[in-house]
Amino acid sequence: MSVIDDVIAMVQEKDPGQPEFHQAVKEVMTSLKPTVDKHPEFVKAKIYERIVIPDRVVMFRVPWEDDQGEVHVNRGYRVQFNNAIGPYKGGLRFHPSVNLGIIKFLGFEQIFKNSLTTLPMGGGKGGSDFDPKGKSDREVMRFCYAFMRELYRHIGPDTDVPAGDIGVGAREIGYLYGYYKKIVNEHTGVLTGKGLEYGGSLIRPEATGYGAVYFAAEMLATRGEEIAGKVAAVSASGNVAQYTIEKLIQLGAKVITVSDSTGAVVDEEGIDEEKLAFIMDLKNVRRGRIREYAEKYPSAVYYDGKSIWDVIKEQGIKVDLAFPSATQNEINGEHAQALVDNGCFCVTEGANMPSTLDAIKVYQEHGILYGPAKAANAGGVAVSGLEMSQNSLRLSWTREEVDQRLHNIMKSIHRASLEAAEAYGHPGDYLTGANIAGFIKVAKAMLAYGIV
Amino acid sequence: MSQDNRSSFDVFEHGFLDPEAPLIRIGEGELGGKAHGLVHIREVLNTDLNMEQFPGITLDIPPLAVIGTGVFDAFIKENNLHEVVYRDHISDEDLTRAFLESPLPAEVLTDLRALVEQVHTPLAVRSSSLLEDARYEPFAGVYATKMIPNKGKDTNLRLRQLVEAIKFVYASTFFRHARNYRRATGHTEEEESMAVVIQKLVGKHHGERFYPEISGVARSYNYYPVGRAKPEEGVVYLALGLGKTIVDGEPCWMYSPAHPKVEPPFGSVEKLLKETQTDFWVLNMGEPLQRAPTSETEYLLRENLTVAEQDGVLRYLASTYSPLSGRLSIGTGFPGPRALTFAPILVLEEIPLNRLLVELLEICQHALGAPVEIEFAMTLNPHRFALLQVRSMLAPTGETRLEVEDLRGEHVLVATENAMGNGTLETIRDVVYVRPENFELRYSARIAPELERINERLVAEGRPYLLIVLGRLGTSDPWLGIPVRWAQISGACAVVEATGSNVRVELSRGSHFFHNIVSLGVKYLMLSSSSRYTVDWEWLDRQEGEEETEFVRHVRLPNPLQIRVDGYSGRGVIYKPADL
Repeated sequence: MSVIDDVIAMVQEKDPGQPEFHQAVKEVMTSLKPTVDKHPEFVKAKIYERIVIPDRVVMFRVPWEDDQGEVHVNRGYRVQFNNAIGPYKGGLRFHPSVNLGIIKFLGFEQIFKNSLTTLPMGGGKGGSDFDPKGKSDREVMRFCYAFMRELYRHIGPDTDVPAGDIGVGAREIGYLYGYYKKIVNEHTGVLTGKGLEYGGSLIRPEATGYGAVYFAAEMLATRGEEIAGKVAAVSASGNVAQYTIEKLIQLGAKVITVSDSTGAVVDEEGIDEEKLAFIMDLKNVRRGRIREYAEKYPSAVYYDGKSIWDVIKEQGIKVDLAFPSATQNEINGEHAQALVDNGCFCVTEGANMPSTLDAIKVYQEHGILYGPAKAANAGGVAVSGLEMSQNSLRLSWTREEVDQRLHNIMKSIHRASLEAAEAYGHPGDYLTGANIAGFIKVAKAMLAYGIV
Repeated sequence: MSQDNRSSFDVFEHGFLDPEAPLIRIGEGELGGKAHGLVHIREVLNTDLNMEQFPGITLDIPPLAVIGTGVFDAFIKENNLHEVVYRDHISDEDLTRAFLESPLPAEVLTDLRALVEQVHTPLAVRSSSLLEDARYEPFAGVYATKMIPNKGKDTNLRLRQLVEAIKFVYASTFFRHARNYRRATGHTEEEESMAVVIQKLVGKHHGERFYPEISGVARSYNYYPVGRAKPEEGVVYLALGLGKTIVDGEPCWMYSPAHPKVEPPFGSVEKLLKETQTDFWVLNMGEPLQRAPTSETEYLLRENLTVAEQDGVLRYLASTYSPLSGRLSIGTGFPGPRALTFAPILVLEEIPLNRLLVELLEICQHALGAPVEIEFAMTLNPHRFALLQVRSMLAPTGETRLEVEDLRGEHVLVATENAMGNGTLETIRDVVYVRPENFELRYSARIAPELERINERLVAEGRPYLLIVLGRLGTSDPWLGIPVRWAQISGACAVVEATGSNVRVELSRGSHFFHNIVSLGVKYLMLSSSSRYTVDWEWLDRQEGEEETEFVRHVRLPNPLQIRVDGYSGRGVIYKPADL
């Protein structure tokens, strides 16, 4: 048995009843197999065994009162998994499903996600089995205060910087931060995802979309190509898609598609800034259906009930670049084959895991550029890191400054993934490269610290 | 024209739709359920409701003109429409056309002409059927309502609009879904007769649009309690614009009057923005887009929030989203996308609407001796509340009542003491279920496309089905259950959400699709890990499979299941077909 298999078996034995965590360890560890032969020093120092055990697990009770004065009690968690490369950083999740196994699973993955951004951020995760659904605003506020009443002693701008996650949005971050500030009497960057008025960062809504395009540009550059002049297909019309389209237009591409859950639009003349403004008003303000785009612009054709990838497959539409920005598994093997057949040579994932395993296989078999989600959509995590930096500096950067830094981070992520892929025997394989790059940085730091 | 001699109102000397004459009858016959309900409740409210408790709001019941059922009977008879009505496979459209081509009895036209000469405001022409009697039977939404602008100097034109609307409502008595509903509730065609209620439409002019700021439906009993809401606390639905939004099951704001500050379970601001009301219905006071007398929406327009913003009606109805901070703030004080949360009224209590609704529900429930549904509309600045309808919520064909004993026995496929919905389904033969022997949460994302494919086929075949799943249905986290969207299971008319030895998660209680489940009346049975009941999986496995995929099985039974949910006790049971 290899050390990898041993570690997986150890986790299953020592951490019973945590199937989500077991699965995460299995997936991450399996992807790290190429590192074992190359790094006997990691094996010797038991880096693999050490990295699957959190630095610290904090569990606490959170008693709170509802609007009727009835007392409730929830479980609170903060798993400080690894701070080898920076303060623990990771979201808080408020959801009835939250338990230790889920928080450990999320915290473990966060180590590598954060590391990949090349920013100094360790990995952690926290939350509670509190369900904000069905609670009044005041109840959510009281719960957040009660949660912070214990958490505050475990976090700090140089120790652990939580952010939002499912069930913890801007409202909850506001309440959590407000209470922290009150009891600690410090206005410091102890949480990210804050409102602009009290320490938040610009470019947050744009980060994932812009980041994906920057990542694509870097991938293209490895083949002497650039975004300008390319024809791009973008799926969805939410935040990620809108800002992917915006950046693509800025960089000179011709975007010909947009979609929503009800259908897809192909506009062979391309989406320009005016049309994008229409999409933003339609989806953000009026919140209407995407077919209205085709009603407004005669150059567009609407395909009811189809995804962009269905339409490309059925109509044989030629595109150079694809940016799946909608949802998990939106591109299957057949879609991927159709993309390749229609000339697409670069797929960049703005959504989380939008390509099925079959689709990824097609990309790899045809040697097209494939930017996996964990690398290409890291823009959101990166901006959290930039919020920390601004808080530490007591500065608020302009949009341009944040955007410039985001651009540099995406370049760094690309370079780290590419180099790791090359170094560990999978040249051009960004998926393997991203997994390994995130791990190597943390492992090297752990090695440097000795046996602590 | 005559006074309704069963009411105590003095209507002599007054004109049509005059507040001093709350009800004027045209023609002979009965007045139907809707009219009776309003007359009765007017008397009750006169004595039992103290509006001083609700400063800043005035309440009224718009006066009615009611065309008695005798006119309907004569119309059908004189024009020989029975022959048309019973023609096989006649479409609703052809039926309406035949009604529109037939003249109304001449004596009624005289009264209607007098009405349009006196009244120059938009009108709502509603059904008030015999079976719709407020005290016993809910026929809400079964028959048509038509809104007409009733505008301009041309009396003939306005009379034509009114007459066409009346005939349209008459025709709706025989629309396919109305006939099916009567059949399903054990009524014969001969039992039904239709009175027509004509009311001034409640609303305000905004350019060429006319609509109320708020339309609402409030029920004193809630068959779909979400979160901590209890069934007996009732439920309220609020919408901007005409009430068609609510009646048609479009997105609107749903809340428990006991917890008005608690949002529906959207789970995130982004989801709230996506799933709250963005479009609303108005009466078109301008040129009609097309002449379409066979359409209920001939004079209606669908507008969006940008128009509402221009009309200046969002002050009390909206919250504002800040894309930069990701936060929703109450009111319209900041620029940004608006969301119809009604928070200035429900959270800040700027208008005591919720307290008024609680009081009205209580009074009406007491008066009718049963849970009630009320329909209302409001115009703001000044705040005027108009009570439009009151009806009982009692089920039409005896109650679906279940005792604990009913949940036991060999013939039970599924039973639970934790169900949502109300009533009985006796036509379902298709069961789609997740095979428990193959189910593991780590595969749940792969199950969604399998369900979608089977759903697509069954929807195309027009076969609603029973869906049985393990784990949280519709979760975004595949580790908790199957991450489906409603569109992927849209043909399910009953859902069982179960747990198993390897699926011990908290159930979703339909919260991911609560709007669809409520508006479609889906029966929803839950079996939590602590439940004493279970699914008879072995029996299901013994039935012949129509289709089997890796994780899902579809069986078609030779005879229908009996799916029963008792909305009052929360018990639900599904019985196997008698012969199996």
